Amino acid sequence: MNLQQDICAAFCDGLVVRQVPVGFAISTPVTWFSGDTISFYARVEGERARLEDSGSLLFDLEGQGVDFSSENRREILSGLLSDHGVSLSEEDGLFCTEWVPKEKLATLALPFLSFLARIQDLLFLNREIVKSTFREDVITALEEEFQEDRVSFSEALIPSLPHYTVDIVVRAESGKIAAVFPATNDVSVLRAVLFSMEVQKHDVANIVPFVIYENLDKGAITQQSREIAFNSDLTPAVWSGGRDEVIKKVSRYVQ
Amino acid sequence: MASPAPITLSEIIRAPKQSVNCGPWMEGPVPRAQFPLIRSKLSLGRGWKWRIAKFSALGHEFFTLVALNAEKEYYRATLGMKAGSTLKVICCHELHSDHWNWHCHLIRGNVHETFPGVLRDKNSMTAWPAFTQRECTVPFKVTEESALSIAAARFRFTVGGGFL
Repeated sequence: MNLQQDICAAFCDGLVVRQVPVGFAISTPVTWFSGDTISFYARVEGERARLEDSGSLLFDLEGQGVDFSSENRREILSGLLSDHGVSLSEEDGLFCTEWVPKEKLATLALPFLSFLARIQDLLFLNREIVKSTFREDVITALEEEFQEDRVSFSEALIPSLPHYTVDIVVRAESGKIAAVFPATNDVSVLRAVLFSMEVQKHDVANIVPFVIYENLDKGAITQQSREIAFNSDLTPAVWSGGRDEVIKKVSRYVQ
Repeated sequence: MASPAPITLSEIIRAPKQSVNCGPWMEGPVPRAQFPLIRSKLSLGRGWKWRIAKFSALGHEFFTLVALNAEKEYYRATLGMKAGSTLKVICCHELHSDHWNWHCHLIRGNVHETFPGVLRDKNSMTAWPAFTQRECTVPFKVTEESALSIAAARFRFTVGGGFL
């Protein structure tokens, strides 16, 4: 038995390279969460080349509920990109390596494959996948009520407190701002409480902080956190009590 | 509220279709309004074009996202069934040159049990058929002209009584 040869065969037997218009399609023996094998592409332009995904990787991840507007996931993604020498081309909407001379392209293959295998980890961080439907529903309803460009995300509203970010910011025509925290877990509720305390402490007049619960069943939010929130200056609302009533309430408070 | 009567993917495919409506080819992200999963948009990168075909069958509304990347030889037609404000994705019909030949990722059994709002319900979606070799041996001949017809033939929807 020659283990090195056996392992080498296990890797290489699963490797398939096929010519496509952009350059080459490279299929690997590593499996993607969907059961498909992980594949990537070599884009060849004259004497230079780079590796890139199919252009549907972001689509597949977002389609599984991965929320790239979340600060936590952006940080993880940023770490993965820099660890593997990969960048996210905003213009092209795909993950790619740097351009290198064609003959050096193969050296990028393993780090890029490792990146593609690891980016799946974002799916398993999706503890709030069900909760994120709630968050998304709140965003959709706010965008319907106010104009879409009046709704933004993960924004620090108090300049002297850049770490106090607000999940959903709604800028009303009146000049007032709704700072909305969907209560997806204890941390989000306590962040909302801290933010409302800072608003009071800094005597900020035009910001109204809200915490919106999906429902009042015992679940992701502990009773202690709920009690702290109810006794704070936060304006509470409960989504299960009626989506329209919640949105009207936000609307009324920022008129 | 009573559960809806169970339906399978093959029953949906065989059922008569009504109100077939096809949108134009587009590029860039797929907005939630066009294909409503839980995220506000789905990012399709460089080289991709997509269009939406909608139809009704068996009292339900269906959305098909037809997407083509000719430069990477990648085609997928994704069928979703409207469920409240989102979709339950029940079949992805695909050909991509990197591996396998024509195949589907599909929900077996009652499609109402599909997890809503995501592209692939990891617990229920399986690939079909099974291949003994991983390499794609089919020449990739999908074009913008034929992409919609392929989806229409797979899911059996037509416009004006004829294939698209």
